[in-house]
Amino acid sequence: MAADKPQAVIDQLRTLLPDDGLITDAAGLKPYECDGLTAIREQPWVVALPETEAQVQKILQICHTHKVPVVPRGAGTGLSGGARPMRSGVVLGLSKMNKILDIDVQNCTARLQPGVRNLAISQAAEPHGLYYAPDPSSQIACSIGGNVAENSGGVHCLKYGLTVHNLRGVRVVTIAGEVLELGGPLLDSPGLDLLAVMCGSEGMLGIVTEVTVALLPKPPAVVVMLTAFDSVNEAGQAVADIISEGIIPAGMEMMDQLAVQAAEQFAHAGYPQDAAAILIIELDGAGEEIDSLAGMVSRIVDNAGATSIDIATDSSAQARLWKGRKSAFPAVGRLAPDYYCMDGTIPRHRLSEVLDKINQLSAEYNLPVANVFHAGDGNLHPLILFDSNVPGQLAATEEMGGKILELCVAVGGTVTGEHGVGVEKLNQMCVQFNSMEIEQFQRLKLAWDPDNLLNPDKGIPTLTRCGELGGMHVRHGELPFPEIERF
Amino acid sequence: MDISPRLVDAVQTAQSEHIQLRTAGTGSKRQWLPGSGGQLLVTTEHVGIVAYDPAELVITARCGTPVKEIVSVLAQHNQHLAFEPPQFFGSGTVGGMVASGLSGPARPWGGSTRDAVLGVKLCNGLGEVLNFGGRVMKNVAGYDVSRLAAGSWGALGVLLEASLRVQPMAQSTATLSFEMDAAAANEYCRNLARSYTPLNAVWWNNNQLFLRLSGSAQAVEQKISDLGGHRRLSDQIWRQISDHDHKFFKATYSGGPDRTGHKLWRVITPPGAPLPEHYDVQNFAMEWAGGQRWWWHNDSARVQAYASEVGGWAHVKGEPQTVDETPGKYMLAIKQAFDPHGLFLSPMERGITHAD
Ligand SMILES: Cc1cc2nc3c(=O)[nH]c(=O)nc-3n(C[C@H](O)[C@H](O)[C@H](O)COP(=O)(O)OP(=O)(O)OC[C@H]3O[C@@H](n4cnc5c(N)ncnc54)[C@H](O)[C@@H]3O)c2cc1C
Repeated sequence: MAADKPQAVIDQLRTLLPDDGLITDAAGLKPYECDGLTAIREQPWVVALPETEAQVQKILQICHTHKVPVVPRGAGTGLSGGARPMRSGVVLGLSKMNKILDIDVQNCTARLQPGVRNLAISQAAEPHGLYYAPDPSSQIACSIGGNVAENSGGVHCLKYGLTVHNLRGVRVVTIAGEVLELGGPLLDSPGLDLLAVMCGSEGMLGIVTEVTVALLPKPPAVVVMLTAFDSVNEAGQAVADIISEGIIPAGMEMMDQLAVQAAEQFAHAGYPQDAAAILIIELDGAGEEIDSLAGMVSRIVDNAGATSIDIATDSSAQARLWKGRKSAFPAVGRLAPDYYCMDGTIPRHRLSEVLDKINQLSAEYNLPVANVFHAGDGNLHPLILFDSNVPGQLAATEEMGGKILELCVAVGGTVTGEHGVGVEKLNQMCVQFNSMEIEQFQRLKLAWDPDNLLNPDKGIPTLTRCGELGGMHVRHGELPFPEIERF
Repeated sequence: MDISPRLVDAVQTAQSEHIQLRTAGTGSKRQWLPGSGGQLLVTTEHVGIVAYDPAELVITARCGTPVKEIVSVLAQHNQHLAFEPPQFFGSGTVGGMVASGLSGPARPWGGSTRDAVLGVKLCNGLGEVLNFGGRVMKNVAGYDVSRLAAGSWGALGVLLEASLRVQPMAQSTATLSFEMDAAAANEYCRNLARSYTPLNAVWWNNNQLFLRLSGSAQAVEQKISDLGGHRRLSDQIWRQISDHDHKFFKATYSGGPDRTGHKLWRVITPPGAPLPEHYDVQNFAMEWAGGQRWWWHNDSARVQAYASEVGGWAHVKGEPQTVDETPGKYMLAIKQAFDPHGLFLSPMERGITHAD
């Protein structure tokens, strides 16, 4: 085991990086104490901000030699504590590597440094009539490197896919300082698909130093519909009916009453505040097909019991309808001093059952919950409202959140649809995966990072932790405690 | 029928008796990449659709289930596998489809096999049955082992079950053809790719460009009148291309060029990459809007040089894809993590350049 916080590391980083590329003072470290999961904080030892891939390589080699843990960080908007620093670790921030290297109109791809903001890609592609489809609500701030690390989604992912589906290539630096070039503006790569496993690996396998994404032509016609329902059940049925009719909308988002009211007060989007649920449906396509498509969807939602259907055809009205949804998190945040955002995915047909149980939990814990739902793909964001100044409320919120995630697993879903495991959902990983599966994840991690230095305490729980929770699935009647605590 | 206990037992036995295994379904991919050595572990009896709910857009099936069966069950609900899996010799299993990761003509628009994989159940080299991913669209819990398994050619373990995202079939499909040389076709495809078009397959060979349009009836009809060309009566050609039944893929056919000493190269290029300086129009073909090119050639060095010049890579149909030393090392490390005793013989691994 190497010395805690070896001075040699600081000395070597100082020679490597310009003055403003290395932060060691308490005031400077402050902004790096947490990511979007603000309840969990730690002061990092140092923050290194490289400007080139060569510097990333050197930083990793230095840390590797001295066995110092490294926590990668993009824009720090992550909601699961993936970029939460370590007391004796180096934060490797990619924010200075923020250049758009190429918009390749020939191949409809963009080549980017990892710190490029998600929205900046579509902005740069706009003059060519192209755009980058995955659009997390945090898109004005979050980085493409963070998107790759989390396999982020957005409201348009139902039709156009998640980050993994729009990613063509990455350059990755491993903890040993080796560079892997995976994919490119290409549609296949030789051997094992390492690009697939890098996507969503939460900074635990390597540092992404360059990203190539696909750009799509902008659809000529777009219609956004706002539909209201008297029950969440009917709204859920409308979603199933639309898909069963063979229609995949560009986006299909549901909000329950509390979320609708919060969003309306915040964004004045024109949402009906008395609705039990609203469904925002975006349809896109060629000019000649859009009217009949909108007609079909209107008929389906009408049959499912919609109480109102508003259709926005001009872009400003559409932007207004989306604004309410995209600002749902901060809007709900105004209802209480704090909120906690969950991120489970469920098979859609279990929606009403899951919402009923969430309501029961809400009553039991006496904590209100607003629900925002990527309805088309079953990704549910219950937002638990609480006040961290009231003793015990944060703990109660976390406990209740854990139960919601376990509920998602119980109905055949998953504990995280797009926000990642980070530090937040380590316990629930013990519920979703058995000990053999967790050990397999660990072996995969150690295959690339044998000293367990890259984001070492994230993503995958230790078996000891699972054992202590008692949530670990038992195999052959024995509880598998490992002799050595590797993670 | 669920024969997973038998398959797992075979792996455990192989482990204790130090035997190497080679997993296979119907063997339909043997022309693409033949396996060799080891004891054959055949999955074809492990059949059955485990779950399918059209409204959820997910199907789960055991690995020995014929792809044909999946395709026909989905078709009853107007759904399909958007990556258009090749079925060489008209056959193939779900396990082979995922393990080979091969995608058909729709790949640039419908996504790849890997893109559609949502979850797998797999038996690793320790004889452990593991579940990764699931039956839901969005799932980022743990490393994405399910998608890593796509294209792994059996290196990580025996795929027992796979869950796949399915898509609604388009309302309308049409095939158009145009007389065009390769350079013009390349340019034409570039322009189509940049504009919103209900396009979902492209094939160029022998100065003929074929396009497949797929979408709503209105959009397809409108595009047909915009583009002109010759409307084909049948969409048959795409199945032939996907399954390599098209005459282009045959070493000899009547009236065809002399291909003695030639091999069929698959060249993956940036879709807009320039054409090679010299090529025979009968021996050269383009697919995937230009991103996948096929080239019958007798000079490996020439093909390799072209591929690397344009920033792509190439391999011969029937031979493994060559992987460079550094990525190869990391691939083998992952293989080792799933199969520490090296139980599973995968033909893919033959292409990895070893450091020694
Ligand atoms: C208001 C709000 C709305 C949001 N909406 C959405 C949404 O709609 N959909 C969605 O999916 N997410 C959403 N998020 C979550 C978050 O924005 C995404 O997870 C985003 O991808 C994180 O990007 P980042 O650059 O901020 O990464 P960070 O938070 O800095 O890091 C995230 C993870 O990636 C790793 N990482 C970062 N950069 C690299 C790199 N270059 N190489 C290797 N590892 C790296 C970190 O170690 C960490 O584990 C939202 C967050 C907020 C605050």
